[in-house]
Amino acid sequence: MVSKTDLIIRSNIKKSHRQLIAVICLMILSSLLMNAVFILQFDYNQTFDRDRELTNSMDFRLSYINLSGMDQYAILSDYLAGDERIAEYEIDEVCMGDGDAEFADGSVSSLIVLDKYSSAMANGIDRYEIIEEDESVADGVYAGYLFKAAGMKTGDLCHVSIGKDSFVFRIKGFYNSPVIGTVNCGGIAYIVSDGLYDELTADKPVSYLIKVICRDKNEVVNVYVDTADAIGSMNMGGYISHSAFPDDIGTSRYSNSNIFRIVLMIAAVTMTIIMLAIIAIVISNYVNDNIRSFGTMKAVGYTSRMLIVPLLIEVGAMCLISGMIGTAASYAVFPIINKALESQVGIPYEIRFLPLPCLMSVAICEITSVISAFLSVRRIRSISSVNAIRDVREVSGRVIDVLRLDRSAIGVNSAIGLNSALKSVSRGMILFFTFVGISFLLSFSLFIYQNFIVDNTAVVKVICGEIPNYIVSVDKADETDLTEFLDSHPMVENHYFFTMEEQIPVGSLPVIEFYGIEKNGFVTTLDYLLVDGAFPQNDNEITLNKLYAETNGIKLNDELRFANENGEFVYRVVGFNQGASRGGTEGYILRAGLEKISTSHGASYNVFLHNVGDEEEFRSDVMTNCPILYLQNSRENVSSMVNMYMLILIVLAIVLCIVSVLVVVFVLYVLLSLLLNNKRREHGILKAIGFTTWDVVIQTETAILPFCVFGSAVGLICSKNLVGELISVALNSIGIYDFGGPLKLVYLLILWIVQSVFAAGLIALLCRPVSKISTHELFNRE
Amino acid sequence: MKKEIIRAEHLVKSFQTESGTQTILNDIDLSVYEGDFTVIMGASGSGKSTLLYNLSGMDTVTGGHVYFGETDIVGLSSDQMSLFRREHCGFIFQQICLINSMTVLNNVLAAGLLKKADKKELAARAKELLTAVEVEEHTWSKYPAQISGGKAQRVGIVRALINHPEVLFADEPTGSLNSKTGTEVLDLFTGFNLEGQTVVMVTHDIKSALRGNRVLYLKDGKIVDELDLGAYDPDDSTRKEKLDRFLGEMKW
Repeated sequence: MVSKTDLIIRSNIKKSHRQLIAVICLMILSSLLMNAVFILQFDYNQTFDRDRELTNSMDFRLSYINLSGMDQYAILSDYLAGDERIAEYEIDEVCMGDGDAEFADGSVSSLIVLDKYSSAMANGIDRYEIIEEDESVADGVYAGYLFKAAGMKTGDLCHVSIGKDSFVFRIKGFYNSPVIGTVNCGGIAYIVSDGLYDELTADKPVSYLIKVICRDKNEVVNVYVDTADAIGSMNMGGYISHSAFPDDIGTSRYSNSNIFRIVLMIAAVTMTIIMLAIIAIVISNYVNDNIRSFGTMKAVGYTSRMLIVPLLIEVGAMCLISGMIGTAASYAVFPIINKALESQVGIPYEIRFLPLPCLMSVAICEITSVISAFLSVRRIRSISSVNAIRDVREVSGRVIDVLRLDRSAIGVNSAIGLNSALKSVSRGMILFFTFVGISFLLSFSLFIYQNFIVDNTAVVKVICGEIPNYIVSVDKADETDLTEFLDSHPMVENHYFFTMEEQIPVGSLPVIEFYGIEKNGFVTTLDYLLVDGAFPQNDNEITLNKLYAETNGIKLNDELRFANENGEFVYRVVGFNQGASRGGTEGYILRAGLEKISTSHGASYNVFLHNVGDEEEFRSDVMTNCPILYLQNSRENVSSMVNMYMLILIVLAIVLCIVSVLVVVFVLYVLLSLLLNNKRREHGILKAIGFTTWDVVIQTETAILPFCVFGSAVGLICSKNLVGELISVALNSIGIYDFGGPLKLVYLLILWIVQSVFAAGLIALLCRPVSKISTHELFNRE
Repeated sequence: MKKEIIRAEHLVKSFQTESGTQTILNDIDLSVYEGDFTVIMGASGSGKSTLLYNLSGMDTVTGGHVYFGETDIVGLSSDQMSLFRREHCGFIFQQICLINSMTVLNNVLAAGLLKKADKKELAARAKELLTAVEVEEHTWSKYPAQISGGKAQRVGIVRALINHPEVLFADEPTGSLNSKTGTEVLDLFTGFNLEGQTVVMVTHDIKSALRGNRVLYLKDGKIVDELDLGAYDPDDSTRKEKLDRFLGEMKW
């Protein structure tokens, strides 16, 4: 049995080795993508938890800013030590405040933390891991890994500002920390060498980073609420600026890698389905071509099982080897993906061999391929020896010439091709669905092109919120001076109150980051952020991020009841908004409503200028004339955010384009080589009676191209709205529900034309063997 | 004086094999005349089919020239050859070689439409010819696999004639048919030849050869002799005697 099987397999491979090579390529590509998806699914995001464990990460962190002296350390320490629910705590004395940090050819606004080297290295909670250090840089800073992934090197200068203070640091090295340090984790920390730190902070007020680990992880929110309330009621002169929770940080850090994973998964599934369809058609065609051989073998005593099993073994073995090559290849490709993702996530990922994803990729590829092959090969059982030897083939009732050549309005070649197309429904369907799938994948690339490269205004607004020229913050006491200055400044086109308050606990619910807005300012310009309902019109109304509402089971018109040191409050939920800038925890209330729940220390205004070119002059004016606490150039900030997203999106777009092109090439190669093989005799006859190679190419184009063109059109039409909606669904986890909008018709049209022309060109190219068909050799062979 | 349609000069066809060069056609000079029914005979492997393919531009020669009218077809590209065949030649093959995926009528029309004829006129001619060769209307929409070999060969003849070819080439046209059907097919050839159609036919069948007015005998790649049988007359018993004698001399 073994030797017979071996003989049959060798014969099979010899007969159809070209198609097999193409199928093997598809298998390799499919397992490559699948393994990459599984690595992302099962290991990549888990780096966050692994690193948290290694660095003894906090359960929540409070940033307590601008205290007056060291006495408060003892008070805070006593309080935290007294709470039995707290397993560990640490209070780091740092210098911090809202500010800007240079990042990715722009700057980002965040909580900026300067941590003293000796103190930072002694951390018991949220330990830093120095991953690169340049001894030659004397007084410098260590930046988070994200900065390194974004292209910063040791020895580079970086500009940082906290409030009105500006610093220029030289990068001495980089550190890794899962929960602090970079743009996407609620605070940018720089570890500053001791001498430099002392010099910089000599006359600055004290700030503390309070890090807490709870005994019971279910108690984290309660412990946080109680701690925040307690600290707030201590009246130590400072204020809680930011709070951070690991889950929020993880979501924020991995949001882009999740999008990447989802799109890659769609590509892998599409790829696998196409591969299975191609296996089915190749095997089916193979059986068809070799009916006489199978009949003869049955006649001399082979059973159906003895003929089927070798084919399945062949497919299985081919798939096993291809699967292993594909998974191995994914490790060669993954460094590129990793590099792109690192620049988003900011946590280094060490690529390592993972048996489970490899096993799953190979197993899925193997099992589905063998099933697909079995479904096609099982008809060997029904082959009649006598009919097969006589080469009796039934003419199916479905096989009809739809067009009579003298009655069709099109040319003879087109009519012959169209008849051929209408007869091969299975081939046509594979092509049709392949192009539907490919168009769908390419639409993601198109979406990226349309919304990030051509015009990123809409998505930037959704990601970052409103983009004024400047955000100016002053102490409440100086607000009138600021508004008078803005009212009278000739460069200012518009300005309105838009103040973010610290995270405020709302009873048993997670904290909300409150934005105070004005009815006639913010509300009228940010409709695109509204997903449902309306923005607040009264003091007791609130519009919540939909993510927050869904996570906590809040519906429209529900009431939020909570109390803090300022009293008891009830807010009615009147709308849901989207937005990723605060991780989906923001709530919009009117200024009057905000002032009830918070004794706000400052007031912020969004300022719009007539001309972008006036920005520097305005900056200088406002710095000179107003006692500002904080000034941020929003457009630079946005530019950095967009640059941060851009790399991964471009990588994603390129990956999808490459996958699409490879799939189209392999699928068309397999189907065309089958078609040309099947029609070799027919093409020889046609050439003998006077048809040229070009005539045959036109016939083949007409038989194949309509499915490609139609499939492409259907795929693109379906993708028009679907891609944006799917990406929105993928982004729900970070608070975005309506992202990018539909694809523009003109881009879809161009993509459709490009796909059609590419398919037509490829078909013509793959038809080259027709020119080598020698008519007389064909007849001699018979 | 008959008009010369095809003239072959020093025609050579050879193949490279593992054992060296194998010459199939060796320095052949030959003319085919308008209105003739030329029969090429010879033993198996003598090169008669190869000669037919080289005369008709179906195959490329190794040396020499083939003039079709004033045109030397030697050196034409594969596609130029196709265009040439489209304009000047009709072919009938031993294996019939209809296109299995097309209906009977479409097989004929596909060839006819190559010359960009008026579709209505072409369809009328196709139907007229199919009727003439007794391929009934109900079979026109059938596929080659659904009709008998004799019917299929008749369809092949109609396909070959649809474009009014200057020369009709036939390679063992009755080789795959039974005796009765073969005779019917030969009657068709004779009929068309009597109407003025030039025919060049390869055969090893004496009954088929009797239909021609000129018989060439090929041996070892050379035309060793030819016989003038005169115009076909089914009642002329001397034709068979002449042919038998000729073939006897050729050690057939």
